[in-house]
Amino acid sequence: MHTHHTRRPLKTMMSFILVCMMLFTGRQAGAETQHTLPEDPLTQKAKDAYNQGEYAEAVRYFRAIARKHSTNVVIYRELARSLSWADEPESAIHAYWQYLDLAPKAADREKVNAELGLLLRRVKTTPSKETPAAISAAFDAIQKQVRAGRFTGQTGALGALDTILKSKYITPRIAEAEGTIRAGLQQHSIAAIDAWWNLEEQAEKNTLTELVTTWEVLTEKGPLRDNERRLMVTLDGLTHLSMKEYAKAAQLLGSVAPGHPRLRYAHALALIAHGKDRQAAGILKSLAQGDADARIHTLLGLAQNGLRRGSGVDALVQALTSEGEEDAP
Amino acid sequence: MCSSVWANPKGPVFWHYPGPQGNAIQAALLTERTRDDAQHLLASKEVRAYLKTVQFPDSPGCLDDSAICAQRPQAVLQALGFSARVDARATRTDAGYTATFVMTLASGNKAKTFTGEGSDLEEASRAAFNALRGQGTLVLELTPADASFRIDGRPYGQGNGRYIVSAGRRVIQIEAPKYRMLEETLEIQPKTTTTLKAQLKPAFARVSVVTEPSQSRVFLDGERWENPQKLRDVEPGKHTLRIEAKGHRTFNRDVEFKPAVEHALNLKLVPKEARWRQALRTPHEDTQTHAWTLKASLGGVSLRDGTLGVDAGSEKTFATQDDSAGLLDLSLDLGYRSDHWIFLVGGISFQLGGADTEAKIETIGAPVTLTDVGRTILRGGWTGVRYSLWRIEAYAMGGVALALETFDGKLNDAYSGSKIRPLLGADFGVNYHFDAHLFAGTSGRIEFGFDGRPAAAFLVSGGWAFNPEGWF
Repeated sequence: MHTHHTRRPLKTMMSFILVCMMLFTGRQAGAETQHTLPEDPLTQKAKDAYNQGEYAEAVRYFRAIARKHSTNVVIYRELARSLSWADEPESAIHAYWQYLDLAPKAADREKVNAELGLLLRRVKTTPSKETPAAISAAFDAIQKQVRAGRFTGQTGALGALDTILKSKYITPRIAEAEGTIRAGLQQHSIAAIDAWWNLEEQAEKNTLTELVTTWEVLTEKGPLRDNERRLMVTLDGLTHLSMKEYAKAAQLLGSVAPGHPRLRYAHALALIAHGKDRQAAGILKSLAQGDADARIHTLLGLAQNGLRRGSGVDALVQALTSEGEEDAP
Repeated sequence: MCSSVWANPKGPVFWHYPGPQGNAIQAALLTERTRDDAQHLLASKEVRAYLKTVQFPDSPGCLDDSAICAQRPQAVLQALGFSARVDARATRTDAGYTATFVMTLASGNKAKTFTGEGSDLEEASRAAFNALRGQGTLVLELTPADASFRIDGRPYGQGNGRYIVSAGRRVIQIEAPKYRMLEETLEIQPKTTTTLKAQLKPAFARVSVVTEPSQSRVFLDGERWENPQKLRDVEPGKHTLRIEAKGHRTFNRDVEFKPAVEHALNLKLVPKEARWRQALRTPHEDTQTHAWTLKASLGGVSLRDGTLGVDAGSEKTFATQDDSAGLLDLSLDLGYRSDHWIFLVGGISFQLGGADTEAKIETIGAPVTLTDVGRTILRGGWTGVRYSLWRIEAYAMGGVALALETFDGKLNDAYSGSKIRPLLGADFGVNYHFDAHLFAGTSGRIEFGFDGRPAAAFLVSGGWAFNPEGWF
């Protein structure tokens, strides 16, 4: 994420709280499915394949489920047993270790240890418990790139996650990495919107495009939450605004602006630029109440000038003489 | 930051007067503003007139986040096309007033404060405005050195020296008694020195001309001057004044007009002389062209009576001539002349007549009647003077002559005798020159003999003037 100047501490704190809340809700969702297999269309297929002795097929299904629900404990035990029958003892040993780590007080711990012991005798050398270097580097890259606001591309956070998901290595850190990406994306999205509004900062076109693209990629992975969708549409609207595609910007921003004065301002701006002065003047007039931002009076005056209304001059004079330094309408 | 950024913003400047002294500051600035400050929208009606024309810009700048603004006012100023905003306030002090102008540039530079102090609000506002414009140094090198000068119409100082002047386009007017005012427009740059060397020209002379007759045509240095009765500015010094009027002699003279002096001239033209009078006043060149003259004269001569003593033959003597004899004269003269001198190279006269003139034969004592009297007179070396008026030439000359006189008489017999005798003669006459060659005239000639018997002749002559160049 490239923004100019430093962000204000208040905004930083608010963004942090938002991310923490999101992470908290994410962990809660994982905790609910810890002792049962996750509710997923593939779960039944995996069970059926296992019961029918089609262990390679079962492994494929369980791996796919594990990638999506990497904090689910049971999936590791089932994956380990499938791997064991599919004659992949090293991978099975790793899956058992994941299970025992995630559920150190599991009721079937002794049984699982016995199964693990049998597997360990089958392999000539005991596999390393350490995370493979490439996987570990990918996790590190995700953290780093999220902080930098780089999400897309082979070297972006999503590219690093893809590297992990394409490997056979399954770990609860996958869910953690996904959460990190999602939280970082939200944080950067909010910062970009803040930067767009703040006079001393600028939301760069490339940044907006990167964020919108990232949200679109996440949409392909699964449905977005309402607030995430709103962020994506807002950023998309601002992106079109920065590209002077005012009609599209007005359409997008109009769908998310109600209730949000800043977005209503952006919506009105797109409308004026698109020649819809009357519609814009209506929005701005409702915003220009009390100690409104000078920019709102300016846009209102320009819209009314466009409509050849004498009141436009009054609004512009008010914008010029406004001494208010309030942060937001 | 260069001061000129503050002094000469490119776009309009929005002036705002938030304090209680706002109206007074605005009024003071409106009187101080020059045409170079047109970009400063000082009055609210100017601001409103400008804002009425503002439309949504192609590049909204900070309004759509396509640019960064340090402060919110800059976003508004940029969007509305202003280059700056000035918040003008004033506070009362012990000495009078302090005006404070805070200028915020739309470009985002840090706001700058300009202050001015004065005994009254107007003076303080003017000082702050000048500070905002920026100041430069004006060095004056004037002739005369004590000339005073104004800047933008206001008295500013006197004499050579260095002066601190508000930046911008300034009109300098330099003036001194008896000198013409000089006006120069200078671009005073902030924090720079501008030198003005000026030499005032002497003040114009004020000149009018009243002529008699009034219908005269007046020319000054060859150019027609309409309405010369009305005073006009004339460069001091020498000029040529020419006045023409019909029937009057032209006045054409060099006159000198002094600086800063009013010259009211009254000129009466002299009427012209009659042409013939003017002509007579000077000799015509035809009277002077040729030096040699050949003249033939014809006239009558009166030969007075007197003692003759002329041998008449037969031992007789013509003793006396008792009556005057009338003779016919034919003369030929060759002369030479200059402008005023005349010389008779040679002349010969043939005179014949005298019939029935009474005379006495001495031995007989009886009267005799002369039948013929003839005279041949040779003249040479006569000299005299001449004077020409127009084509008319008057002359007088004299000299000696030699006369051969012959007498024929009859009593009972015929008698005849002759005599040669010297004479003193003089010739007076006038000639009229028809052209450079031909002339005619009349003259009188008198001759005196030592033995009496003077003669007087009246002659009519015609002549030919010539130069014998190339003859020989």
